[in-house]
Amino acid sequence: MPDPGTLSVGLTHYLWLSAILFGIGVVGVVLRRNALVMFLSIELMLTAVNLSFVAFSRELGDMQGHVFVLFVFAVAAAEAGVGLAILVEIFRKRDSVDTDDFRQLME
Amino acid sequence: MEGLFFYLFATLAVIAALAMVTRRDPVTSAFWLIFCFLNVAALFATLEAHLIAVLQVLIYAGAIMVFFLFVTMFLGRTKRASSGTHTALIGFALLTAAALVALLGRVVGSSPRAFLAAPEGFGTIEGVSETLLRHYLLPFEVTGLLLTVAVIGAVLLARREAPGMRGSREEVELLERDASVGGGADA
Repeated sequence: MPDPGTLSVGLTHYLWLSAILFGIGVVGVVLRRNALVMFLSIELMLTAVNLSFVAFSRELGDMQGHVFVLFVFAVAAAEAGVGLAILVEIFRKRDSVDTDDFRQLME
Repeated sequence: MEGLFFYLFATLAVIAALAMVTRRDPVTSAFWLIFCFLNVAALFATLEAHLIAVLQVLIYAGAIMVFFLFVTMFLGRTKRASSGTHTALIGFALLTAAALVALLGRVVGSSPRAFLAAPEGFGTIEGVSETLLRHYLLPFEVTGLLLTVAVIGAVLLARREAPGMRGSREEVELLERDASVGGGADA
């Protein structure tokens, strides 16, 4: 059992966690073939960045990072709305949410 | 004590994120991501960002993820299995992610130093709103415009075109045929 004093956490801990979550999100976007799970992974990456913003805000004692997180929330909501609407439209035409079936634009 | 909370919620968040990426069923993935977001909200609370923590739960884990789940269940019955992975890319993806995390970690470094005491009123509704409305009023308004455009775009994209609807594809085709055949003489 480590001494409670050594358990004190600082900016670097949160930034490491943010980097790890972002990396997991990248793996999800690259590996998964389901477009919905790719969207979920993008949301995870946005949240990882939010964690960085809030951690830096706490370090600097400045709330501008919190304001940026609010903007990221709004952009994520807009992205989810339009992205899922496009996905529903593709699903109606192709009956699939598998990105391997979305090759129409390439061919 | 704060460190204990950090390690608890950080571990849970990473486990939930890994589960989200590896589960085959999209609905299971979405629920794991909600769990991950709740843990991140707890981490926001340990960073004294109380308003952001509440909004993370309400907006992200609540509204956006419910929206996702709704669409996932709506699209759930696909004929072909769409839950697979690019197995040929696993090595590449893990290598890329590991390199990215290593690079970010190199920038972050490892000089653990506890946070200084937060200033009075840090992370409260009053504090954040004052920063937002005093220094970021124009971006705030532009965000409202962005959301309006997103709503209109989503509605236009998702609108199911009924036959005979004004401006629908069928009506346009009918009008074009009338114009080419009758020259609009009947009208």
